[in-house]
Amino acid sequence: MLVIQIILIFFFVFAIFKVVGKYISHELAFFEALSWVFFWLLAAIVSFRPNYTVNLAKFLGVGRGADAVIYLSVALLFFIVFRIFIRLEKIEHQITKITRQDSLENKNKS
Amino acid sequence: MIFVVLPAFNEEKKIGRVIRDLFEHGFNNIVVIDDGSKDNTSLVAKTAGATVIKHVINRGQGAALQTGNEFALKQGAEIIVHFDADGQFEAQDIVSGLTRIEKDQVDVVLGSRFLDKRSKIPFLKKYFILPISRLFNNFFTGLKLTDVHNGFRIMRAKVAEKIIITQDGMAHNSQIPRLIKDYGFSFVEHPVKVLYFESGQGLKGGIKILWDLIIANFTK
Repeated sequence: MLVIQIILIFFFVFAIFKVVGKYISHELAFFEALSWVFFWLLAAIVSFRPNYTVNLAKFLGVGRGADAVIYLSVALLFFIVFRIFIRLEKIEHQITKITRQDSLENKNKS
Repeated sequence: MIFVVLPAFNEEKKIGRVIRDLFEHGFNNIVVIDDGSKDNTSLVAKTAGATVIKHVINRGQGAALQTGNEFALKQGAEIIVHFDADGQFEAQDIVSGLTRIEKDQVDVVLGSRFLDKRSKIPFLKKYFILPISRLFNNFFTGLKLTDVHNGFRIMRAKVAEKIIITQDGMAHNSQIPRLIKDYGFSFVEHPVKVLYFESGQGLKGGIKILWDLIIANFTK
């Protein structure tokens, strides 16, 4: 096993523990926690057995396993960033709502 | 009852004059929404006799207009006017706009720089920026307007009750006409004079507006 594989597996196992911890402390909902555990488990498996990606690459029609992982990762990252943008927009709306409520209530009191 | 809503951000130098001019033209219900100004906009506006509502943090012109609409409606407004706080518009155009809303029996009057020759529009803006922006805006709003992102509006209370401005930033200028179309409100464009002392939305501002309009489709 390569050094990078050991480091990555340790990191992914650590990440799974963090996710479980956040679920126990109610910072993460069940489905979200499950999704993240599944993701980190998959990452750990691919790190442990990189040749599994060769089968994936063959299925997708991509040359190398590593390339298939990179392409899928980039697509997933873009999707996550998009979701974050949407979430931020919703938070901005909520901030405006609170600011408006506060300003109108202060006006009523004065 | 007519309410004039002025969204304001750091306009201490100009807002006093704008308010006094509105009073001189007979408008007594003037509401300034101080959108988190860092200067003395609120104090100047209060001293000039306007009702001031202060956003504790800056939220954007669209957000300020929605706050103004909600306040005006609670006070029993029958007609709400949107008017810029930086002195770019003329109070006399409200007078003629109000005559128009009654004469044409429409729900909304939208200001346009292009219906008369009073506005001295900078060359680049008049022949390049605004025509291109108008194309995008008309496509997005579904309305064929002669002007784009003109902040002068006169609307009946029923319009303000229905049209909830959720675009906090400058994209509200596209959202409002879009909602006018979606709700089937009748409208007419009315000539207004715009005085130029700032360049308005640059390319960066335009891209931000486009982005806000696209993102809004995913946050309904």
